[in-house]
Amino acid sequence: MTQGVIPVPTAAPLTQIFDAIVVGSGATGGWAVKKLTEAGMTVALLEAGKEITSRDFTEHKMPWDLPSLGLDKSVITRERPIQSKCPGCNEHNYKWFVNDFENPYVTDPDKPFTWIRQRVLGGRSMSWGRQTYRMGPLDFKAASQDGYGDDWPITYEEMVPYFEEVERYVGISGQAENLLQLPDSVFMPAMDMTCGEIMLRDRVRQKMGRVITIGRTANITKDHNGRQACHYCGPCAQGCITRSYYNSMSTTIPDAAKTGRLRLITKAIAAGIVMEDGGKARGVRYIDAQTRDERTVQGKVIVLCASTLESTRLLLNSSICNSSGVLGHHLMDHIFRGGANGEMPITEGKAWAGMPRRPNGIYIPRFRNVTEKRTKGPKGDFIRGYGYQGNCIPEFSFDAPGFGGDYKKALHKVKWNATIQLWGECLARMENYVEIDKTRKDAWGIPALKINATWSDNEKALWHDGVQQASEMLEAAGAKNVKTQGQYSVPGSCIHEIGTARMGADRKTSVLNRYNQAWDVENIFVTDGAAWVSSGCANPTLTMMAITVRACDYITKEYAKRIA
Amino acid sequence: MNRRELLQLALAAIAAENTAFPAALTSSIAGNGDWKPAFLNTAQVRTVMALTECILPKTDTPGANDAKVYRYIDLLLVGGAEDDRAAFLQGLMALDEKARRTHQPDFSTCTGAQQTETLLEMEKANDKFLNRAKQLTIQIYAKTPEGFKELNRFGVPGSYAACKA
Repeated sequence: MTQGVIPVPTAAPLTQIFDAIVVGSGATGGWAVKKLTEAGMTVALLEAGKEITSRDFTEHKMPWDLPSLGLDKSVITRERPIQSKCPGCNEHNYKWFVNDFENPYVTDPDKPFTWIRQRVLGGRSMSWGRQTYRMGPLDFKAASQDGYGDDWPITYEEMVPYFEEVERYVGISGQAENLLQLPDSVFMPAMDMTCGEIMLRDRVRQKMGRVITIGRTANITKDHNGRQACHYCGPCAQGCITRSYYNSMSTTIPDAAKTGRLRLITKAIAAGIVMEDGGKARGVRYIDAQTRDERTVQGKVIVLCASTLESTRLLLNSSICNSSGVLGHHLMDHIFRGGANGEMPITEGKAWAGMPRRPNGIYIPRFRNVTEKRTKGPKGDFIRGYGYQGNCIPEFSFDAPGFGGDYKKALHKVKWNATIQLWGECLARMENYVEIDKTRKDAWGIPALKINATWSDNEKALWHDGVQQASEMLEAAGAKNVKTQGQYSVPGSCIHEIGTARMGADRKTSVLNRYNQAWDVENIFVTDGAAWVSSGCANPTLTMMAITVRACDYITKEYAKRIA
Repeated sequence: MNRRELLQLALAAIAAENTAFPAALTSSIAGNGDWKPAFLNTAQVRTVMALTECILPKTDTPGANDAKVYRYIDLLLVGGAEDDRAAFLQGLMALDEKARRTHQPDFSTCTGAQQTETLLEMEKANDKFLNRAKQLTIQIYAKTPEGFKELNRFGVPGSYAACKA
């Protein structure tokens, strides 16, 4: 039997007062409902989008199953000009992404921001990049190391058991490297490197002493919890019938449903938090996306997992949780889209079209400012660092010169093109912020965000250093025709937006305490990326999930007892 | 109304539906049934067919026309940006113009040798239109079953290619 997705039953009636309401069903919301229901709580889960099932998955479709082979972007850009910029948004899955005209946001012309959103059960975990890295001790205490910004109110050591719990459940394939700046996870067997990647890894280690490792990815390489090992079909962003890559709709949410204590409410667009006398929240007001009726669901605890900017938008639109004045501020996203490519000197091997495709690449852990505080780059000093993702896979020589039969033959001359691209830390700054726009509303009448974000000199300086180092590593590895490439990414386009409702040790300078609990409203918790204090340079989803598990542990073991 | 009349009426209804929904055209791209260009005229289709087949001809594996590359080019031009479309049409005209220098009515009526010679000359000059046409041709071809036949002629690995040192 193929592993379908367990349908989610809807248990309790809407009139009841739930023990908790979780807003958002993505990577963090999935964990919240799993942890809370398994601890005995009744939970209402609000998801703005519709329920999708394995019938909506298209990962095994061939390009020619699509009217334009997937090449006609106008199908997507018509209603989703912004979403179409996401590399994971294609002709198969674009309807999982929001309609940009129904879901507007505002930016100044000189401060572009790309906001990618998915509104379906599973949220952005349906089409995420799956690269999975722990934030390390250096990241949680970055301010202590270089004096910029604030340390997190939690330590790496405190996070370790939560990382482990998430990793054991999710299944992360990867290779242990024992690095301070990129702690190892609990790993499943690593995916294989190609010959080009092994050559690159060995030469860079030998000549520069730097580590190149296989990507750590939330694709299982062994059967796990009833899910099948990855079969290397490739396009994970279109769903996965064997549940081999991690998404919430086929793991945590069905687990929560099995308890009989989950009430899933889809097409429910959260509009505001309903407060009661005494300063606590009573529930969440939402718009039924189909009928446009306004409804309220009541709960004793509210956990916001709506995604960084949606969670903050909900708080701002409710005019709560901002006694510190920092709600909406310190928006971050990783800077990227810079690196280098070159041809590795290998003549053996062949390229092929279609399967098998490894849904993963290689990773170069941060090497800047691991022990020192600052580094002098080609365009100035910078603090913090960057890591790289890349690959070197056998490719056809599509760009061979000539025509006709000779060109057809020349196509098959294999090319081992190595590409490495940096992902850089973004400093938390007060002047990068979101606010409620006074004029724009979304299709459901909910005031839209205005987003104000630019890169600081630090992001730019480390970007230039990363580009130069990419080229030096490829040169050191003996690559030919090495070219640097790229330009600063548009903020937001890395889809690692974080911050805006930061945790902190001091209620005067933060929105949430060390348990992700709002200082101002004790029964509101924000556990998604909004809670972040600093960005690190690694892909954030694993840490977001672990923080959610930790906050839910606090809710079920400490907080719920107090309010019972 | 007899059976025959009923059938004719039904066929007329289907035909009417096809005109009412131009999207129905796209569904016929991959099939062997009737296909009508949505953007290019008949003469332009001829030129595109000749050009793309010259880039990727039928050999012991299918060529561009077998893969119906011209139909996808037509479709992509419909959805494409205005300046991209204009540049493409301009390029087709210029190509036919070059053919007339060899005393042929257009590029498609040139001999294979004449076509190749024209393209080589354009390649030498780093002709923008030719680069675009070549890129489109291979991009489309590589996503068709016919293209897969050529690209995978030397086989595909049974499992992900670990490096066998």
